[in-house]
Amino acid sequence: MYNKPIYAVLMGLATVSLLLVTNVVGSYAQTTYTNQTVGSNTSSSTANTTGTNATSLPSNPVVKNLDEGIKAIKADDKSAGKKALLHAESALEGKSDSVDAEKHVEAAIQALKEGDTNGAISHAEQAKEKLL
Amino acid sequence: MVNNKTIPYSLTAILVSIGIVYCLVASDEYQGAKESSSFGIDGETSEQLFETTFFSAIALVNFGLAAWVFTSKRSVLPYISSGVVSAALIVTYIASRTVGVPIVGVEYYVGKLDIISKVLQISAIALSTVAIYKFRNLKIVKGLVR
Repeated sequence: MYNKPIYAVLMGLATVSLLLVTNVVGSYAQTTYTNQTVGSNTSSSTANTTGTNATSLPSNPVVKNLDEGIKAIKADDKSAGKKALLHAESALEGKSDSVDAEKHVEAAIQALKEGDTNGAISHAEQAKEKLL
Repeated sequence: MVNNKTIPYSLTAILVSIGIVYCLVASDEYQGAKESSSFGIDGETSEQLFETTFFSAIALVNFGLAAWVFTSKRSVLPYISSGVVSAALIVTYIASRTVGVPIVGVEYYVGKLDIISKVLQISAIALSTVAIYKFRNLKIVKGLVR
């Protein structure tokens, strides 16, 4: 009587395990979540463009670090990329107007640790958008 | 016909797997805390140490639930507890990715271990529900037989 639900759960688990092993779902989830975050924040980032001028001077070294990080990740140098992102995060710490950017940098570092370079670049780009 | 032990054994395996996943996450967070500390990112370090402690505690809770499910013979409580704990963890995760949670705030990253743990927790809830339903039906049948 309880065969079908139990077998369905176990088959589902097996299928999900296979998908995760092939890295399909992990990358898709990260990219989809990232795209949704970009989509929902587009209007707010446009509205904030003039408002960020006051913070643009202190954030320039951060943007430079982010650019270096993105460049290093694209060149497949993950350790240099991670170092640049950590420097960026360190520079953003404690700044109440850059909390979103800091969170995206954190997400980029975590993505890089998991080997998801596309996710890392995507989050780093979003962090830059928040600062510019 | 399914052996009577299928549900407890499957649920035990899933709970142990959830515990292992949380141990891995706690270990990752600890490594991250050491790295952040070396870069002088104090805020991030304290967040990560909090997460290390939290995830380690969750891992222990899951191991405890697994032991309870495995050793329990005729009680429905371990299944209710497993379902409730798994549901609470899923709700906490969703909150951390949407409105934010205390200390940590909002997190933007959705990793592989996150997905694995959520799938396992959903499976734990499903199996717990089946077990609770089975106990309920058994009680009704016993009541009718008397």
